[in-house]
Amino acid sequence: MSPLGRPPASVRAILVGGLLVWLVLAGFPFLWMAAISLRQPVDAFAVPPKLLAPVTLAHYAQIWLADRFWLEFLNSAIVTVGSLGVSPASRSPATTAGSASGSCSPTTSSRSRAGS
Amino acid sequence: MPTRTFPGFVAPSLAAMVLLIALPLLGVGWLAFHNAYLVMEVVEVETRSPPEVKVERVPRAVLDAEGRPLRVWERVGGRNFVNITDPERAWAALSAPRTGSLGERLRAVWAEPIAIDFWGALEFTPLYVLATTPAILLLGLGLALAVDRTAGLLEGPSIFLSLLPFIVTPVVGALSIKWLFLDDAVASVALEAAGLGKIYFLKNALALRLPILLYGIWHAAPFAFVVFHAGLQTLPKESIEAALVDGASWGQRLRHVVLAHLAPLVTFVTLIHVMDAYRVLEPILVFSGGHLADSLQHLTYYILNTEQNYFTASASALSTIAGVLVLLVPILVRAWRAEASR
Repeated sequence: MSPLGRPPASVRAILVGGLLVWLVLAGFPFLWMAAISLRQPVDAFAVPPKLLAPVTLAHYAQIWLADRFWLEFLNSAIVTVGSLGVSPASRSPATTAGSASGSCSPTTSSRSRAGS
Repeated sequence: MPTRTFPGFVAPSLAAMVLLIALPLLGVGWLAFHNAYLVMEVVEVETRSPPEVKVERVPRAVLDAEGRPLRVWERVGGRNFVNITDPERAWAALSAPRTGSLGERLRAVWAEPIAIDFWGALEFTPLYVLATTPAILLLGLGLALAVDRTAGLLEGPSIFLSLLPFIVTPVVGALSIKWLFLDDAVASVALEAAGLGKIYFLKNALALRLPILLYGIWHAAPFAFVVFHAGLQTLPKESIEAALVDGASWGQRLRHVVLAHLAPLVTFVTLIHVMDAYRVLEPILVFSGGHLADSLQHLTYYILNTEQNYFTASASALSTIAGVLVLLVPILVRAWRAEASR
């Protein structure tokens, strides 16, 4: 439930309508991209745009099997996992130290936090 | 925490910051004030291919005792900065005598300094920052309030869908937007059907800015939304109840309770977004696709283009850093004052 309480009807209409418009705007570009990925080149950028077109998985076969997409995928995974491992490991101690010494003097805070 | 364990806890991230941020930055600072070149000499080379003897004068690098090209490093002071900003040409363009109507004169005063690469890049960067920042704050707040009204089952999916433009890799997101704005693609056709006429977004550097700005808002609004959404969860019930007892209207509760509660988060989102928008690169690369790159300049892209001369690249990098500091200072001062007045 909203912490703000019930807004007037006009505000509610704007909020709900705006949210619906936004959800379409947020999702549509990716849906359209997915549709393009499943189409023949002749349909993908047809003029005018087509809502429905025959489906093909040829482009996926092309990049995964022929273009070595998996290699680039692997590289991205290595960089992501690697930086994810290093960064929090070096930063979380500093955050702990910073928050522990933030408001109280070092001795009182060590005592007050000893139990937790 | 005991005083002596404090340095131990902070050391790893401090070391990482010095090694990965401070030292490279100092290196860039040093490079910006230096220049290096190979010492060249002109030698006469005699080519004998009978019956003729050809003598050519060709430049050649001078070699040192170990046979390596002799490279001279010199301190050049502010010369790299003068080279990229070209103050003489910019001033000449600004102060040249103009004729024609006021509009024509204003356009000329604007267009001529912009023709210098660095100032041209400087034109779009603040525009992008200043146009997207208020938009994402407003949109983010509206979304947070709207999602807050959705009940139970709908809340999860709408949060997920709202975050999508922010989660997806910027290059992919920018491509998905660009493909809607191609000639005769979905957005262009829809705008034509709405009676706005045919707009060739990707053929015109000025029109191209619109989808890039839209992309910037579309990509960053979910970030503002998710921060404000989290902030709304920590809103103390008591203050809202007190406001209700006092007979405050919804608008008054929004302004005096919710916005007052979210104020530090507004500062946070503004700071992060200004830094992010200032260094934005992906949409510029994706949308211009190279052929409009010169007419659609952005500082980050400009630095990338000058990279082959790393001395001027360093100078533009330093100037760029100075620029983001200028943009950030008012926000930081405001945050500092708010903190001090507590």
